[in-house]
Amino acid sequence: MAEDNNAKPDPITTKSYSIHLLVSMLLLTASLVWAIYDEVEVMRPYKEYQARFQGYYTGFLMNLRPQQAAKEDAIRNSSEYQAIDSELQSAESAVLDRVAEIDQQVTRGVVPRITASRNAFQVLRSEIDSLRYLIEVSHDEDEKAELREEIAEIRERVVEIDLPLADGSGEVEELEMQYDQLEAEFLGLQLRRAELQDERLEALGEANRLREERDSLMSDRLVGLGATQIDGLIARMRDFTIGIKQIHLMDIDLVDRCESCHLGIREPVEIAPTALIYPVFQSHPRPDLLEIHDPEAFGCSSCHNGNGRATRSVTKGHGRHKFWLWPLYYRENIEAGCHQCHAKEIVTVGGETLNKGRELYMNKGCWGCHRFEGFDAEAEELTQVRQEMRNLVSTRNANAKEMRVSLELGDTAADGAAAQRLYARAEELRLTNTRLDAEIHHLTVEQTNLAREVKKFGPSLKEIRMKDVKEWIPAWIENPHEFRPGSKMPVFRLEDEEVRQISAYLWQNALQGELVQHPRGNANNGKELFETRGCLGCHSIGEGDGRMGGEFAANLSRVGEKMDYAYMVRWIHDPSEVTPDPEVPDEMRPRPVMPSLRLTVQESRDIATYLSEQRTDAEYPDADYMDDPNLAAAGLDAIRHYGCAGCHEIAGLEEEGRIGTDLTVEGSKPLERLDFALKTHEAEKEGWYSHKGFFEHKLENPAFFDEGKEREPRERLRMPNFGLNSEEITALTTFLLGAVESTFPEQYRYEPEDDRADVQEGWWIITRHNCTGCHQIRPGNVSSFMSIPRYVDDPDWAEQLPPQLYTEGARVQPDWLTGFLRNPALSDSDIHRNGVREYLHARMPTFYFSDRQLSKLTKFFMARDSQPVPYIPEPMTPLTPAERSIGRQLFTSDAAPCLQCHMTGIPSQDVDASAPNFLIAAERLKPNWTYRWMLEPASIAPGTAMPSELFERDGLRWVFSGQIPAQARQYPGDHADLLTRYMFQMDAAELRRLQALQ
Amino acid sequence: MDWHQLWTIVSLPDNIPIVGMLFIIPFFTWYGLRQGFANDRLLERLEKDKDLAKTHHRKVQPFQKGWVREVAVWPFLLRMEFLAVVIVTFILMVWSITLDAPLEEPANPSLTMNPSKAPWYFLGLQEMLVYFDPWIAGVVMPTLIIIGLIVIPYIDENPLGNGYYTYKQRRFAIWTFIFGFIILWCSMIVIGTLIRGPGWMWFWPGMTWDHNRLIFEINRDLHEIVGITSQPWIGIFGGVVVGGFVTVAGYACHRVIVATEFTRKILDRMSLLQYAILQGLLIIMLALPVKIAARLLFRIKYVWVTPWFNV
Repeated sequence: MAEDNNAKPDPITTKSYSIHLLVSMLLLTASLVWAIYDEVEVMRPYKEYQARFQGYYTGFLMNLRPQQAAKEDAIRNSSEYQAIDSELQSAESAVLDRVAEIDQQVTRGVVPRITASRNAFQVLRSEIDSLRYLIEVSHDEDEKAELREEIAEIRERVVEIDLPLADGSGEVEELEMQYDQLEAEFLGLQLRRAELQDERLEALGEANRLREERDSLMSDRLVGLGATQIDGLIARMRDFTIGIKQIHLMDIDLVDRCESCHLGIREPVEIAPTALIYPVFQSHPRPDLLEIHDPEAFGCSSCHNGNGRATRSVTKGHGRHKFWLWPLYYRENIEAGCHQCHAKEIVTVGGETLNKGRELYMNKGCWGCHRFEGFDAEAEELTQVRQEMRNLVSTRNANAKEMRVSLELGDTAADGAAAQRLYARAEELRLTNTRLDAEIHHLTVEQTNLAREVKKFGPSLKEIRMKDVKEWIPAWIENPHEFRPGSKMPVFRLEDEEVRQISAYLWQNALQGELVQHPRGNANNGKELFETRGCLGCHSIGEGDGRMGGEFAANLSRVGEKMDYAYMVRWIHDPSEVTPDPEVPDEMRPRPVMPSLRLTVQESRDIATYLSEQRTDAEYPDADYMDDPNLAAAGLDAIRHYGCAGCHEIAGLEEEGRIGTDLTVEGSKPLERLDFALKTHEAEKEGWYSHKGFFEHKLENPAFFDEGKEREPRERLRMPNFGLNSEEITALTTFLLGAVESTFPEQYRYEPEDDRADVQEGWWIITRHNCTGCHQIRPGNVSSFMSIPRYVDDPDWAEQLPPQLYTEGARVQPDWLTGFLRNPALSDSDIHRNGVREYLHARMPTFYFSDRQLSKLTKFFMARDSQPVPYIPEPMTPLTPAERSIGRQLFTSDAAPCLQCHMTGIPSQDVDASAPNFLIAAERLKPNWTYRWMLEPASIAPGTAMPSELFERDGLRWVFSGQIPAQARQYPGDHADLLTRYMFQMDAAELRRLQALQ
Repeated sequence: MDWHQLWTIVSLPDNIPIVGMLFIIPFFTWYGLRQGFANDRLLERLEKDKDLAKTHHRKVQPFQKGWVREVAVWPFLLRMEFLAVVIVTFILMVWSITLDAPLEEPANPSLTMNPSKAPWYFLGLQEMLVYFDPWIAGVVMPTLIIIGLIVIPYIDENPLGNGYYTYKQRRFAIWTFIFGFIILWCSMIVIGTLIRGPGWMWFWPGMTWDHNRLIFEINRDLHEIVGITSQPWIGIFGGVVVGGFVTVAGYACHRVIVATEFTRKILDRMSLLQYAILQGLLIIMLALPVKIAARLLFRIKYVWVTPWFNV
């Protein structure tokens, strides 16, 4: 081999791969370690959160404990607590001996005796039971007899046992007993124990009551948790185990692990966002909502969205990436989550942003173009009712025909039986038709109701020829916001030619009629009336800082420039008075949204005169082209294209449908179906490629997604610009985000069928008619009146605010309320007044409610105050002459001069009145409410002028707190009750007598 | 140049294998060919030196004295394979730790994603759907590919090249592989991954994948271009064109098969059935690029339209 010294060694057999193997094995091992670390730590970031929470929260509780303990001590040292406590001590010590005695008897006597006798008894019984089983399964009668004998033997068997004495002395008696005796002993002892326990409870009764009283005093006074409770929490933190914390709801297959990081969310103490360093640990800011929606039953992501299962990172858990279809709602839109279950409501308690969004949807007229379930439901119902009626009528006609045929066939039938059958059939059909007639009648009524309720969003354009200044029309259509900033009429993207065409069509197709001409009125008086009668509940006037009034209806700052004086007088006097339209029968005629304030003609003239002076010097160019029929023909096309008839009544377009997309479930429309057009990449880069981003940009500028697109005018996006501010955009976005197709089963959704449904329905009518423009119906709701300077600044005017309706249902009787809403004047002849509060300048207007709406509104108020339906008046005990006399004295006493404020019906006296007349109390009010009202008016209506503390407590009754008249001092009954009865039995004669006494 | 778009596509966990493929396949092709050329040089030496050829005992390395004549599978082969197993496992571990499964949003039956792409290994098939009738591209062609792979050992009459790399002795097989697998199959996967964007439109790398992009494209059947409007003439015309293609392609393939002394020798060893199958598969393989070119360059939808199938 010497010659091969230079030869290379065989690479296959000699080359060592040890290093390669070593390195790659090390790498593999390292990757295994990495995998384990990744699995245990990196993929479970919540562990870190939990460790931190445990430390921070324990520290937080430790800090809290001394504070709360000090508070507890302060309460403990209060005289009231001490009094109860010492009473408790004495009560306890009084029965101490007796209780100890009982306890000894039970623990040392009865219980050991029970144990001993039971043990002996059970041995025998189990032996017997096993023999019985053998009897049951045996088929041999002899064997059974044998077994029975055996049982009898056992029952006879005498057992020796040592039983402790039941008196607790600890001594033991030695007894010989049989089965039956043992059983009797055992049962008897159990009875004895129960007796002793009862005795103990009875002895401690007073002490327990006092302890409860003492504890409830503590819990009433103490804000936050007690020291013991905090100790409990600290102990729980000590035993805290790190791991996934999850809620699993089987029926909707929901797994929410949110609480693996949000550990403080359900803690019973309030944890401020920074209290535990990281906001993630804060407690839920709305524990009241959590109480209604228990997380164990609802989870978290069902309201908030987000990916409840994901625990790997914040982004994944919150679902804020493009593959999670239900990303966590942002804070400003957080109430969107309410809507999916509260979809039937327009007002959801606690969801102010959402409510505002729905209200905007209603009051900006979005539903004119975009259908949304619930909005404009009347129109849809009307269509349904009509269809149903057509079906019923055709069924009835078919039945009638069949009936005639059956009768004819019966007359010519071959035999009696066949004739009988045919006659019976005819009779049956006759009865069916009677029933159908009743149903048809019912539907007719329903139809009339609905026809009254259906209202377009904007004013009817059929009368513009009489109503508006011709030259003003094109200017308005071109840009309504220039004439009236913030107008609800949005700015459309119209070509000049289209403006001319639309104006021409509207002008040429408007009704022509004669208006009664009126002389000018007194503008100063008109201004006063305008500002105080109630116009400002809905309308506003003035621009910028000088603006006052409501946003529900138009701003009338420049109305004089556009509106005809005579028309204005007619409209103000009675908005339901219209020029007859040959196309529409009167009962189908929609009623205007604007109600009648029941003004006299002179008042109407004054207001119209004042309003017609509201104008600038603006001049409008000639608009002769509006008479060109060719333009009008093209105008029809434009009106159709832009969907004008969605909001306005326009001649020839009465049946026009909506042009926009249905938004009922817009929030769950796939993102790909929202057309971001050329903005897609910008949106993706800037992070608003989401439903939220789309809605916000679209609402801010409806033409936004057309930017950069090359389009013919009619191909462009049609949505007009409403000039929404950012707050309104957020509210509407919240509403639209929440408008999703709920994936939850019915029991999760809030669709009550009891009186809560009445509340839901009522809010729709209230929102649609802007009742909240004048009245406060919910705490926190600010009426338009409350923004008018004089009502704010002048205390006398503050008393002129329309009444709060917080507890209207508890206050008034339902039948009366229905009547009042139908005709607030409560009179057919004397209509130019308020039925109840005649002293108010503002007047409750007559709305054109249908019977159905009246019933719904009445039910709403009753249901909201949990009033039983139907209302059954309490029987009123008649007053004895003596009682009447006391009542009279109390009524006129100096401490309670009722008639100083309450109306009497005599004009000279009512000048300063600020409360209703007693004469209508009996039919209007509920006695129990009146009684409570007299006791505590301020707690029912905060800020009321009715004086509080008119009565004081005297044992179980209330007595008058002022100087009690001599006769009343002897009266044993309740003074407030007496006064209520007196008030409810008052008549005109009695009232006159009172006035004489005054 | 939209680098962001390019990076989005390339960095998608879904596309990692394809990006890897872009580098791995050329590398191993080159690596294999290099070894093949080295062996070819050795073969040349052996052919020249008869003595050396007699004593030479390994096909892949020049003879060295003192080397064992044969090496056993265990441990010499298996230890290498074990090493490879360890390294691949390591790569897979790291891959699975660092990149999550590319799951997307929950499926929505009423909404198809756009572009909606098959898993990467099926992208070639999906790309074929652009050029052929679904029935042909989705059923006939994949079946033929599988059958073709199965029959390779039965139609391959070349005894050389077993167990060692060589280029010279298997020129035909190597070129068929390069053409069929690398050029056709892999490049179609690459096209499907990197080129096809929303609406399955053609986006050159670096172009923004714009969902709003509109392109004007009318694909017409060949007979429409020629002006034939009624059956059976349409069918007959298509049959003639396809027949023409088969003739030309068959002739071209035959010329390749009989190109050298060596291939002619192989041909002699083949039965008619073997030759027919080989020709059939080659012609169909050739049809793919021809149809792609017809579609992409001349906007021809179908060449042969019959009431039963379209080609």
